[in-house]
Amino acid sequence: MTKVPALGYNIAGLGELLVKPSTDSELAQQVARRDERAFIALYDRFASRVYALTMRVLGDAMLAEEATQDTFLKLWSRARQFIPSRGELSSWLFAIALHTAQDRLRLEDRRLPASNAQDPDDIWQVVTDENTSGSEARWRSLYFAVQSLPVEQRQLIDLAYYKGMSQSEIAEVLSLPLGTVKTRLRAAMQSLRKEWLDETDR
Amino acid sequence: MLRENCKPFQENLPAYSLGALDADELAALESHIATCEDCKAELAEYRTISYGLLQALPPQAPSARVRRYLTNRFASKRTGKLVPLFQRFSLGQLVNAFVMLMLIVSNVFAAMQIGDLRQEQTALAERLSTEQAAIGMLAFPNTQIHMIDPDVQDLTGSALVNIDRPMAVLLLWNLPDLDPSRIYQIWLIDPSGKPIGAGWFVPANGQKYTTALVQSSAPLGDFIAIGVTIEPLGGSDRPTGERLLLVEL
Repeated sequence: MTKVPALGYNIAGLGELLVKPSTDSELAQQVARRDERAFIALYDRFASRVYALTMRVLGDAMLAEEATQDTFLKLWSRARQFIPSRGELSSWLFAIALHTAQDRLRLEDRRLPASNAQDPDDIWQVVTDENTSGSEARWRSLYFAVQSLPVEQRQLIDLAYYKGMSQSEIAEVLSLPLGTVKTRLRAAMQSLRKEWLDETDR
Repeated sequence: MLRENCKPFQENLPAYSLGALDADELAALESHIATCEDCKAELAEYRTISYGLLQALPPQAPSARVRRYLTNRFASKRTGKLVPLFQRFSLGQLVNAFVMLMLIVSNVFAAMQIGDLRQEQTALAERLSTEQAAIGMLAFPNTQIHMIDPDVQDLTGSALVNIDRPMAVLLLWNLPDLDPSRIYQIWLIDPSGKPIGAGWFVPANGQKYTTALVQSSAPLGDFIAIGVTIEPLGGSDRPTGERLLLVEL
């Protein structure tokens, strides 16, 4: 375990360096070059979180699996469109997953009118590296922050974000005044900003 | 921008970050954000939260069926990579590859016997070098064989493609004869669907079997397909004639 001063790394660790695992961006670029092994590697990395998200939106295992499948098929066909300098692969992938699941939700439940959801490509370009390089613990703490919101606020986050509904659609479905929906949603997000974002930025 | 002016827009930032803003408020907010650095910065914070909401769910593994579907999808599409040869191919497939090699060699000898060798020499030299290129490609990793999708009857063949290098060779059987004022032009199709000229060839004299070198300046992995169309002698800037074949990559 001697450190080689000039080179700066452990001799014993050299073996690991030589087989350094690829970053998400590197794998994505290999997928763009039609590398099937890189594609399966990305699947293994992200499938559980993509599935958890599609389950959250759809609430049905079969539909969620199909949406997961569709998400990765889109990853394969759109890999060339992913530009590493614009943001993290994960934010791009999860945005695709969210919209794929919401499209399926709308298909299954024709009562929900189409919303003006943002283009998924817009979502990840604003999220910079420093804000997203958090660890698992960081996401877990956000999960608990959401769980500790008052139930009516949590419900609005669910309908607005996971279910992709607009504020006026929510007001209609819940039979609430639009102003109430707006105030509650704002309060929920400000709460999360204070409890989670400001806390973890320390 | 004075924060006072921002207030009505500021209030909508959380809903906007969740994609929940109604259409009538959307346009006004977006044009404000375009010019207001303060609101942009605040929006970025809310977006961190909305992005986090995509991640902040306990992971759940889907059934093995999904992975199996995705893996099998590729196996049925491709015909098999060449390297590593002995791990990927069955004996039958290796025999076929050997037969193909022997046919290449026998075609070369047949051409040498038929007609005036001197006239054939240039064409032959070109063909030999194309075939050498094809054989050479076998040595590289990431060389793939793709079956062609022909637009004319009886035409069959394959494309040897290397996704990391600007190397590809078309190996074609039963290529229809061409009018002397025409050539077969090769196109590389980029992801936007634009065809880029990549060389041309004509059927080998009296031969059932033709090879053609695809001339590319970029690795073949950058393209989504190879196409061949019939064009006037000298080639065209873009495809104008009938299509002969397509190879999806």
